[in-house]
Amino acid sequence: MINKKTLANLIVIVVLIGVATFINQPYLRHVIITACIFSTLSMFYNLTYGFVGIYNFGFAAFFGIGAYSSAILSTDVGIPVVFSMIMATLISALFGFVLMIPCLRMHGYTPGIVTLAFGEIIRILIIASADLTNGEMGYWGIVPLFESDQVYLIFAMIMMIAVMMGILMLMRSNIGLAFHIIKDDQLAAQSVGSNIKAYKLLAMSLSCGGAGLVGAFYAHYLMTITPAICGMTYTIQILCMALFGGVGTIVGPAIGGFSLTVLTEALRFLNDYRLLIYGILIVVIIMFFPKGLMGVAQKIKELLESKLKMEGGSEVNVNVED
Amino acid sequence: MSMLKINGVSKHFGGLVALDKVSFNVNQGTIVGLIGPNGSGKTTLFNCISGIYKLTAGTIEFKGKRIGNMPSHIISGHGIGRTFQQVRPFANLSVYNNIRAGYIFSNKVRDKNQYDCIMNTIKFVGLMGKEELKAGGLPLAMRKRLEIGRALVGEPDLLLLDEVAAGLNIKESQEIIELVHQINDKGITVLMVEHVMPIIMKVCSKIIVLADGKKIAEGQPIEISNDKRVIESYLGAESVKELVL
Repeated sequence: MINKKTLANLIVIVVLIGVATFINQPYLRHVIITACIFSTLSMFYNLTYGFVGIYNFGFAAFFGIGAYSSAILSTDVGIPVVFSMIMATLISALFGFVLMIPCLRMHGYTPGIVTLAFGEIIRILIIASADLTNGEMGYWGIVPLFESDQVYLIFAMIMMIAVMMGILMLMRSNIGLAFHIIKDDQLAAQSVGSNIKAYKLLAMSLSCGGAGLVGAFYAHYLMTITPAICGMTYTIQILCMALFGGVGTIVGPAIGGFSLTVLTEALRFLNDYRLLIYGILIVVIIMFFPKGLMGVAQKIKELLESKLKMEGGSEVNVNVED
Repeated sequence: MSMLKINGVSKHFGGLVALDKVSFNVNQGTIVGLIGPNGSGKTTLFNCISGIYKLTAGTIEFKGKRIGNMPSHIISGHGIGRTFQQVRPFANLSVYNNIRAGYIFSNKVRDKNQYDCIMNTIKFVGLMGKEELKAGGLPLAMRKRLEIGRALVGEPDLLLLDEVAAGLNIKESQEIIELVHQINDKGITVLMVEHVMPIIMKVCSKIIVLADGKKIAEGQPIEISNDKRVIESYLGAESVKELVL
């Protein structure tokens, strides 16, 4: 079953991971791990925003729920880290599922407002329940998942690639088609017999559960988290990554996640003014490149192909006429 | 045998009465036409049958089962396919995937080979060779065919066609009428809304006329074309007097 293309992809992946293991510089390693984390997050974000067309502007809250759940379960309760991460994933997915239920009755951008409010509520709840979360001060001393940073790096890369493959397979399956048709036309989707409510719930649970898993990984990697990770800033950052790479594509959000994490690191000296750049970026992308980097790549490819056709002479043109 | 039974169906939007106690039967294997001036409630009735609107009053029975007020996707699962007045294919998907969307949600064709089923349908509606094209880029006539194909691939018992000939030129509408006949030959019952009178007169064995949400006439094409109330509702009472005089 393995054809040339998948074999080539596999080789590229193995080489990438191999090279990554030899990165000894702690800073570079940290940037790559962060980039993997945000790439994975933006792929999960794209699952609802890009494929199904659900506006979730409280996405970072699910990331935060995952991070805090796993931190508390492993450090305070004493559950092994692997299990606490799985539980954190399920808890986030459950929150996503429950939040989606009222959103099913809404149209257009209204779910966006509901999820935005939900995100703020979660952030404030985490600050308020200081007994459990240590409030504004942040939760530290979280049990680590691995001993060495090298293993974190490999795990982060494998996680990112696995999520990409998983989403690729999902979108090629019947479930993926069900997602696509909801985005295209809800009324028509219902008329062919698709239970669009069930598929929206599924998409939201998957996306939020994924955010929870990445959040849990993030918590055990950094070993310290603050309520800020639930805030709008993070959601905007993730949204921006998905848009930049190409919303509604599979690889796009991952590329966006990588490139913008690096950009964020480079612009660290600007502090909060970085948000200004994100704002400008979102406006420019939506206005001029609605499909992000992937869209630009597609256009360039089409241009090259049409040039090749022109050089190929009239034979090709005859085919086009047919 | 009666396939679809509409029983005193009413639909109110706030104070506006869109449908007022409409009742009629659609017999198995027939082609029934639904006509009426603009705003008479034809599309509203379609939306009630396919579950997009909840009924204010009355019942709808399909193959002996009450389907009124059921969710859209369940009604579709019982075997009612439909097309829309404003064509709604999945614009960003290929022709193949459009038809596939109709296939995967149908209970009836689950055991059959997916590829064969889809390709047969594409062939049947006359879109052979266009499988890979994006639906949004097709001309109107083909988008209409695609929509019919999407509804047909799940092998419905009843097909609701909302103005299939609207916006098509004479040749295209003749072809699509030919398609409607072929669909009916497969044993599928058809209920169609249509504005183009020659088509409805030629194709349908029974016609139901709506005006202002009420059923004003029901019968064979000949009876309908001579019905005074139908002519009145289409041309206005004044012009009928002129005609008579």
